[in-house]
Amino acid sequence: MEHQSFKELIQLALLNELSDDQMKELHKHMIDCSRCQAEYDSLTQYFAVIDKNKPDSVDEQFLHDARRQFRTKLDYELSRQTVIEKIFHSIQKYFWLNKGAVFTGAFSLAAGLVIGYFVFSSGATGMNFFTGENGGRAGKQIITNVRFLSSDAASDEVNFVFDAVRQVKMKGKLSDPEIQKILADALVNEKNPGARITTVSALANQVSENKAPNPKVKDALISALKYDNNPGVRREALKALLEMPYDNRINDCLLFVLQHDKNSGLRIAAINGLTLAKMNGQAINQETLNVLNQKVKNDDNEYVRIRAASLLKEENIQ
Amino acid sequence: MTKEENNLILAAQKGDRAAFEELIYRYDKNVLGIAYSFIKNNEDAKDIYQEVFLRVFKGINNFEFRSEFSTWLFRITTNVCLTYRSQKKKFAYTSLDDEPDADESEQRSLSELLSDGAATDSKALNSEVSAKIENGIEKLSPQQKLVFTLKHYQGYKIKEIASIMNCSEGTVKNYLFIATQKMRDHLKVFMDMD
Ligand SMILES: [Zn+2]
Repeated sequence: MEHQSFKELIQLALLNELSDDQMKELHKHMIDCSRCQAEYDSLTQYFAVIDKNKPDSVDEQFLHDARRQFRTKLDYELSRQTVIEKIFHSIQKYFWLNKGAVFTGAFSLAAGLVIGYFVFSSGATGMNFFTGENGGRAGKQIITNVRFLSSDAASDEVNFVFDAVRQVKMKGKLSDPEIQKILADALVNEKNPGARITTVSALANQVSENKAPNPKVKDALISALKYDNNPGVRREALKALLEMPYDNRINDCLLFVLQHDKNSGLRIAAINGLTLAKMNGQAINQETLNVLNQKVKNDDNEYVRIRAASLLKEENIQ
Repeated sequence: MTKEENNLILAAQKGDRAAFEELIYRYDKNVLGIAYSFIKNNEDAKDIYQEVFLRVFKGINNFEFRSEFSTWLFRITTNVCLTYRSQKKKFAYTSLDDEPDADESEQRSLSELLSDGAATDSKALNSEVSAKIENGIEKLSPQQKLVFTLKHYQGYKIKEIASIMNCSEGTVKNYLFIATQKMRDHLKVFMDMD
């Protein structure tokens, strides 16, 4: 056996880790090997130093403190779980009673404050909504928009509503009509304005490169422009629509904005849109003339009034 | 595993908190001991203790009696130790390490130290050695450090350490030999020179 191996055997011997046979073999070798004898002495000293300087063992008070802290932590953990379980069970019951229940909002663009995501992905309880198993291959289910209607501490009852959304992860090209359709749906259904803006911008990017826009995208943009309550979303939608080939529907949208949008920035964008269309050779129809006349007289915004007047003037000259 | 312990585990798996506590109080002193000898700080050791038993609590349903409960528990403990990052630690251990070794004339041989029990400054000297040891341990890799503390401070057998750390006995021995080598080098100022 190599000398190095004996060095290791010495260490194991001092740590009481050798079998009787190994011990005998080592002793036999050491009788004739002064280097191993020296190593034995040196290691004995080293272990004695280590042993003498062992950290103090855990005393009862220390242990007592650790236990007390842990019990407090466990109490907290259990009460947290009880709340989560209670919500979970009532949600489960809800879906059990309403088997056909449709998920509101078919898609989530994974934005905004999503309470359910936090609750169900914290991993503490391992509960998985709907699938009832760990992992949730089909994607995470999101409980969003939880609104507490009432809660009664005395009777331990809570009453709340929520939207259940199944999170679906999709990857695809913006030029893919299917992806556009989904984003268009999202634009209509998404509750978070930030996400809607992102969606519109994504659609707008696609639109500028695509001469024949997806009708579904166009519909979604038009309804966003007309009915979205967030001006940022409306502005992005308008920008996207103006990138599309100009037609009567878009013209009508601009008129709609001019007449109904309370945001002057959007009315300015709309009237600029009309100006641009005219510069590109679009004829101004009677309906448009009527709206412009109206605008000259009563729009709150000076720029809109001036632009409307100048459009009418150019039209009269021709 | 005794039948009694099996019953405690089964009860704990059904959510019996009293059984859970009885079960963990059989071993929690060892857990705290491992944590403390690894981290050398009371608050951090208690943090590790909390984390270990919270994981045990959450994971007890996954315990399938394939190993001893204690092995499973200590495996969790060592995992927590290895991944634990102390908030205070970065302040606790400044680079004493990098200080030049004590002047030749101040060096004491190990035999002097060991026979020094009666000397008035023995206490100060012991704390000096302790600091040097602690300092040396900090220089080990986390795995070497863990094997070192489990072996020398907690007295586990190599075989037990291997199953706790989920590796072979050979690996444990390797960690141990390297740790010994490094520590001896680190402590050589205190050792007899011959
Ligand atoms: Zn030899």
